[in-house]
Amino acid sequence: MIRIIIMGIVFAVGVSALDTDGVFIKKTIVSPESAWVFSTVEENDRYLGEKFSRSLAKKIKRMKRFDTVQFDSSVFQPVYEAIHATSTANADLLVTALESHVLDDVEAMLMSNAYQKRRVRAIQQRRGVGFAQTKGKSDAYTMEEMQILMNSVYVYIPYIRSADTVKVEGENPVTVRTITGGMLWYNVQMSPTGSVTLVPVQEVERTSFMALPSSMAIEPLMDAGILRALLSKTIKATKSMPMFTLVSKTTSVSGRDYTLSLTKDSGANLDDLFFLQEDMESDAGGIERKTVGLLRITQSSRDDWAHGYQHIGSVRDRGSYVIESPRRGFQLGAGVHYAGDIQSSRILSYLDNDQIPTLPFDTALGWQASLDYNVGRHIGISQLFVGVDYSRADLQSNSGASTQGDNRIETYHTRLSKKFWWQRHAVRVDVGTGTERVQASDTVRLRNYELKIRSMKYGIGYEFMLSPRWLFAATATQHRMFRLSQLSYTLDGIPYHFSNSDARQLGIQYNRGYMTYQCGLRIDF
Amino acid sequence: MKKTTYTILIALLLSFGVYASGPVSKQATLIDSTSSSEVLLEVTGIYKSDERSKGKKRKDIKKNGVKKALDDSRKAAVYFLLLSGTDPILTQDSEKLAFKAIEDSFFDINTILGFISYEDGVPKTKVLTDGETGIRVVQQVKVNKEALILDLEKRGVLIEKDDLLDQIGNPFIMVLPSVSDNKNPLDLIKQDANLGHAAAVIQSLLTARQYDVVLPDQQQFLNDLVDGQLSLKDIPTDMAYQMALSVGSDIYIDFELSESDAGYGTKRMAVRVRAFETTTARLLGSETGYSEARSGDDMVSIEEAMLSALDNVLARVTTYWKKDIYKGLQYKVIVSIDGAFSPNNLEQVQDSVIDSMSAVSLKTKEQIVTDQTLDYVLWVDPNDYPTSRQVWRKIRSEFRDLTRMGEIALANQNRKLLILRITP
Repeated sequence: MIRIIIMGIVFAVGVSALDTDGVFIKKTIVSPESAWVFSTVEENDRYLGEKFSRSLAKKIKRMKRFDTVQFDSSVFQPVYEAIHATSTANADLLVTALESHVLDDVEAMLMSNAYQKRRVRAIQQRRGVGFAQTKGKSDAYTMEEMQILMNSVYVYIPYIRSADTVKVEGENPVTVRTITGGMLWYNVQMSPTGSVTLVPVQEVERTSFMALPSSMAIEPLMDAGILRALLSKTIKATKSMPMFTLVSKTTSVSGRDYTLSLTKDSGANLDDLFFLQEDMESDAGGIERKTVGLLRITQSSRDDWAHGYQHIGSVRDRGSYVIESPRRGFQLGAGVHYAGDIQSSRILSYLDNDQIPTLPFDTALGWQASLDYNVGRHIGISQLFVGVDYSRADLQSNSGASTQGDNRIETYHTRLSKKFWWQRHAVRVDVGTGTERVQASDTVRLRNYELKIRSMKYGIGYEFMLSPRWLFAATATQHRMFRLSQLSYTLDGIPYHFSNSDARQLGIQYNRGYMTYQCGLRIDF
Repeated sequence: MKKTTYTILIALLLSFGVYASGPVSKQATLIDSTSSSEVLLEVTGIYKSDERSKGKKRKDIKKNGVKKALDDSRKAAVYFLLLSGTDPILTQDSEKLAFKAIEDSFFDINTILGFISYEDGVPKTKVLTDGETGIRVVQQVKVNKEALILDLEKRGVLIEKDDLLDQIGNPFIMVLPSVSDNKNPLDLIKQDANLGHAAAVIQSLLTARQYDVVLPDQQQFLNDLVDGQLSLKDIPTDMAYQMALSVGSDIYIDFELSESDAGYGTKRMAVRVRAFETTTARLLGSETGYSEARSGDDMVSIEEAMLSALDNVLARVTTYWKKDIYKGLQYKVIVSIDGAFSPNNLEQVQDSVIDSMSAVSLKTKEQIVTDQTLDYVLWVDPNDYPTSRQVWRKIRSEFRDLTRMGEIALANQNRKLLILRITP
């Protein structure tokens, strides 16, 4: 393992140096159809290998930064037969099997005219304006380009190391399902004299799990979710590998807008984040590359250069480097939640004979958590998020009326948010819908008060980018109830139960709402 | 004494030869000759902010650093072509002195931009130095070298090429591949497409620069035509003329091609180009050139290698011609003395012919002296004696004045080769 890592580091440095002028060059990926399932995985879990490898192949094929090649299944079949034939299969055996059964096909592909013609544009993107390119109009590969071409094929083998299920017994039994898997990466290298070798580059291994109440734990469904998470983590780790990370230069600057020598065809997508880097002379006289800012892709198309907006750092002139900071598109947030003006919304009401009193809670203070996902980058709308919010706050009375018991309000919302950025600052517009649940046990008379309402919320927020990953967020949101789901309470020992049709009787006013204020931190990953 | 003082003065002036408004960097590398008139250079530009505080310097670098460093790189490109490298444009002290008088206005960025035919605009590398108060960039720039030379000619810094060619006698140039073992170069060009292409590249560049070029196959055709016409008129063959015709031209450019494997199935072409005076055998320039290693496109590789070598060869030829104007044009004189002279008379005859040659030339060099043959190289002022005929006439008149002991006659006059015969 250490040998693989060391070789990987050494090779990664060398191969990345082959990239023309520090700009990313598309690599060819040979994508197998099956996975190596370790012998320790139980028989009924072995199907995970095929599921994982198929999802991986599909995802890698869709990634524009790769030129994906799929060989006939008969090419890799002997490899899988060899490693699955023994319980002591290891990375060395895998390399031997790949060299015996796959390398010849890779070599034939490298030498084919069709492959070389297909790769011309990616390899020759920065040719310069010498004689051969201008008057000569030559598109013949130079030796340096041939070296890049002949060393830019990568093979990966997906694997599943383990799949475990643990049941935690207790009052609320929980089933925890954990799957560990990853990819082994190899680089096909051809020397100037034509000899071909397979060099291990890097191993990417990740673990994902899911914990559900045992009564809800259906293993195949859990596996589907876990594999999706595993796939996402593995792909993110793959994007972080030096030879696959997008690197480019800024070719022009206007204000905080940068033009990058990347297109959608290279894999630069809307809302991708890039670190802005400059080369600087160190005190010792060497050159160090330092991060001086953060860019987000605001425009990306197949035929035009990508544009990025700089959020962090001072503006730098053209000629700087940008390096991708791969993200999965999620933001996780948490913070303080405060609800005010609850009284005036007149929703916390109950029927006492013919009277409709409201509970004396004016405010609520607690915490909130949210998980957002950037869907906008898939549909071409920048910074459009879908999120789920949860808040839990203790109801409080400002009037001095005595309250006792467990009085709280919980909200669950799904939300659509759009952010508008200016440097580090963003204004966020939210709109959402969900369920709110109030529990109160106010007085001796009123017990087990439980109110469930459907509400929508809309609000405006402010976000500040503290660092490339962390944001400070503050929002003000108006909650409006639009449907009573259920109200139940016990008054003077008599239970009452109301549904939506009783809303009028209860005097619930749908055109009123209350304000919430949230403040906290978010992490982007 | 006066000459020494003048030389010291020039040396002193040139020693301050940091051209005040010139580039800071002066670093450049020649990448490629992209055409007969343009060269591609990779140049470094440096800019250090001269603001007072460190904060202001950093701000200046962020705002203006790249632009100012790119300006410096353009100046460095022109500076390199003028004064650096193996074959700078300004070679003579007088040229450098004349340039110094105009350097301030010359290195104005607007003037420099007039010679830049292409640049990337995006630095190939950009490094912040001195705690971000300085910047160093590298970019590729294409400079129109011919336009630069023409501009300097118009400003009087360089002698105009037409004047130069006039003063040295409007030489004709012929291009042939280097041959051995009595092979016919014309046949080689016809049989080998690569050699034919190489010759065409050289001829193309020479004609683009308005040199007088003689095509060897057309010359051969003319020779045969003249010979045929003369024999039709029953005019006897002049063997001396036939032999003289075989020389072909004043200057030969010969070349040799070779290729080598460079890995991954690519080939690298190498050329060797020489230019020499046919009748004095003087080598005027020799250079090698290499192409990028590539798979296929042999013709492109040949032209690429040839352009990189040829520009240097012609630059050296021009340098020699400029020197010839000051030192004198070279002539080779072979004097054949009849064996009938007595030893005493022979010495007197030899002295007389040597003195005659000294009288016509600025300088002489004795190559070989035997009882029957004198082999001399003369440097003759072209302003005094513009043609080899006039050189001969002066030698003849001087010889007749110096001695009556023999008769001097011209056996053959071919370009800059004079073959004389002295008989009793």
